[in-house]
Amino acid sequence: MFKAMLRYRLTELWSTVLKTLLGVFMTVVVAAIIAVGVSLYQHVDFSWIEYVKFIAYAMVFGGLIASQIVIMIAAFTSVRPFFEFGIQNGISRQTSYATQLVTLFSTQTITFLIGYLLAVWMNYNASLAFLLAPRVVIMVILVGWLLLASALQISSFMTLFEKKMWWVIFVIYIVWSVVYNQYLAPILTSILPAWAKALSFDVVVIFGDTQSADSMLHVSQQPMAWISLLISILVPLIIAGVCQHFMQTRRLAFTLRKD
Amino acid sequence: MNELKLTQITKQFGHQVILDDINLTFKPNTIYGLLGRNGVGKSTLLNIITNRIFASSGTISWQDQALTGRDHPVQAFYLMSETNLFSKEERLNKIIKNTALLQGQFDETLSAEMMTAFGLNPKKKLSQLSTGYRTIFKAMLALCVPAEVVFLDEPILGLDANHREMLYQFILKAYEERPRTIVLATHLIEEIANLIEHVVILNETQVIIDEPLETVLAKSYRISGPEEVVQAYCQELNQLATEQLGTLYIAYIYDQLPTEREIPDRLTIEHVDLQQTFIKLTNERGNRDV
Repeated sequence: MFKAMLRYRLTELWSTVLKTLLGVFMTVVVAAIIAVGVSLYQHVDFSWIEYVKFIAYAMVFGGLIASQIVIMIAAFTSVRPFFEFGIQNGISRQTSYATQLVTLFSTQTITFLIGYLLAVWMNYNASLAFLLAPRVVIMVILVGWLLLASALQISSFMTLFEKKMWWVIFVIYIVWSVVYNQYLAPILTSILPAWAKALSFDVVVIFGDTQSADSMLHVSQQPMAWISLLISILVPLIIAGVCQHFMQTRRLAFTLRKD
Repeated sequence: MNELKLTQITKQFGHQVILDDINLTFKPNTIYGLLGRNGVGKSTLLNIITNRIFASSGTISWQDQALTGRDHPVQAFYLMSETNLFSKEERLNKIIKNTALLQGQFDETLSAEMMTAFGLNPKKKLSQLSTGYRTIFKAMLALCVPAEVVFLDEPILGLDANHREMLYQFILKAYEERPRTIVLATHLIEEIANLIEHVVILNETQVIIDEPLETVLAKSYRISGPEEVVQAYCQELNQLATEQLGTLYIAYIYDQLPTEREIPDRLTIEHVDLQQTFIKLTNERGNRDV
């Protein structure tokens, strides 16, 4: 059951990703052909090697960005349809959610890693060597997971409620985020005991004081950074899991209408 | 035994009790009719069995094993319902392919035969189908999956008489080719009376009838004659309803007639069909302690 659901989800997501990549590559090729045509027509001196390099860069960067966007969109849009089709076919909520996590995170990791490593390799010089440090690579991947987890949390939370209500929920979510960050977070920070502040992790200070290469390495060496990152990934995933556990195929009776 | 057993199933939405102490056993290879008036909780019951919504309390057992936890895997059951759980923008052939993938098996021969018979184009999107054709498509999927218990909730919604007749034939064909338990929940009682073997009637949150069709029909009587004669004969019998048509007094009975009681000459006793019995049983003034 797990395997079948996983195969179903992977097939759907990878076909979307591959179609998007094909679209990006085709667009780059068409743009390159037009650029070459224009250059030839205007008798502009150009190097074929530079053109090919530029096309390769465009394909790698375009592919990397497009694939990550597609996966992020899928994290928002894939909750209800897959959940409902799974329930229709007797797939439990746990299996559905577990396969969703495996599908999204594995696809994101694979596409990101390939695109990231290719991009760094194509631009390789000594000053960028830190980007290939295993700790930095893992941390960059985890930052991607953090975004994915947040997307899953928001989409699961919104799907839990009435479909027509999604925009109300979304507005509430944004208002809450702003209120929390602007007003509640400073209060909470100010009342934290001194020992908690000593353990706190301030990215702004670290990045503000040093060069980016050093700061990234420095951050990746701080245990607190890893703990913060992992908690930031786990908490939204737990919230998304709870939302999906209580998700009903009949919409919850949560409306603003009064009977 | 491949029995599906419901024990003390209760469902409440807020303070409103929808299902109260439902105890039912669905036996293998039997066609059931699940009958009840609008809003009585038929769909809720089917949704609970197939894990779409959760019961407030009670147990569901399959093959003598309780399906533990709130979220149990139920691939042995398949519910075709009015609620659409398929992506409307997907083509029919893709939905069939994905259903086959998740179910492990799929009766492709029956599927092709039904698609041709009903004139369904597999390249069409679900959103392009009318209500009737959507119902046909969903019923087709339900009959082609390898589930051992198939629930068809309003399988004739939006279907014309010809298509309804065709669908009944396909239900019987699917059953003959691979016997399984089929539960039909519908309002068109007259039409399914020839299909079903066992009747379950829900009324006001509870199961009031859970008997073979033969038994239900054998216990359903319409007794007419002069009022005093009818009343005298029907003493201590379970009267569902009474009617007065001029001088004719009619009593609807759901009971075994006492063999030792002599039938007066002026009394007419006849059996009534399932629909009439259902109407009298579920009428608000009807007897609820059947």
